[in-house]
Amino acid sequence: MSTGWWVVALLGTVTVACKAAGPVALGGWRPPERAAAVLDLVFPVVLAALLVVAVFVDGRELRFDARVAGLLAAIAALAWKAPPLVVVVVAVATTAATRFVL
Amino acid sequence: MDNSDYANTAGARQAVLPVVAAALLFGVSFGVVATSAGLGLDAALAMSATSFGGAAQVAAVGVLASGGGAPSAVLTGSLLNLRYLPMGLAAAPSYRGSWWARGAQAQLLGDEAWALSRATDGRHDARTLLHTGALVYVAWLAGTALGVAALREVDLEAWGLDMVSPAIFVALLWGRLADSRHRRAAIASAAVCLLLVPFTPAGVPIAAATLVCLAGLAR
Repeated sequence: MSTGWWVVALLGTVTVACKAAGPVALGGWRPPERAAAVLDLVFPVVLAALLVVAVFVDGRELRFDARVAGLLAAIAALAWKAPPLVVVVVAVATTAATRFVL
Repeated sequence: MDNSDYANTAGARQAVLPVVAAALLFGVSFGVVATSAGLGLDAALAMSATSFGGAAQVAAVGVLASGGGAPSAVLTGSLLNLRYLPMGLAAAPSYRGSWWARGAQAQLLGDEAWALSRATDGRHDARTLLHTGALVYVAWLAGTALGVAALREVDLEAWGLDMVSPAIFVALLWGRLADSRHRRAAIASAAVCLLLVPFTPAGVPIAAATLVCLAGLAR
């Protein structure tokens, strides 16, 4: 088996297991209060982590570039109570325009 | 329904289209990088089908392409996909059917589908989770095939398309920030992530930040 296929097989196994673990073990489950309190925080925690890595990180460096302008534009749109599609379009357009200018 | 919470509303459904379009184009980029790392169409598609997670796949084949070796590639990709464990746990109550059906449906889990399916009461809407997940999955596989075949990278960044997912994340997070526990958890998670970035390999910051959820025990 080539190196590439080894990576495909091993990474695939890890990912399939991570995704399946919760639903296979706990499908239709009603979590007890303390577990529910922890799981309740997964949403803000994961979204905040994905967000800051997507906007402020380049490789292993922190970087402030056109993406920050896109984020600020998205926040401005949200403050104006814009629907999600508008927020996405505003963020994308602002980021692209800023990159074009810089 | 809280007006500021987008999940499960018609508004959230509108966001599916840009998510699917971005997945297709990001898939093309992955296909190109996979080819440069020596993966054929079969291996690239197999990876997209089983490791379904854009950042993890691009990082893993990126390590391979730069001569980093298979163990390093697997480790990097695994760290980046480790978040699906707590995300799967949070969405677990929404999956129905036999254990193998739940496990199979869970393979459609992706960041955007998971985020968009979240309802105000903290549950995940099973239909949004599966339908959006399936659309993104198909777009991701199609993009991968196009990227391997066409061998031409789409310049996602020139079009600002790398901001589609972050814009959705901030929109969904926005509705949660009125709750002080969610706000504190989000700020702590962002801080942990940014502090770790300069000192740890890709994937570690996000995986470590998910541990902030355990603060829920301290209430």
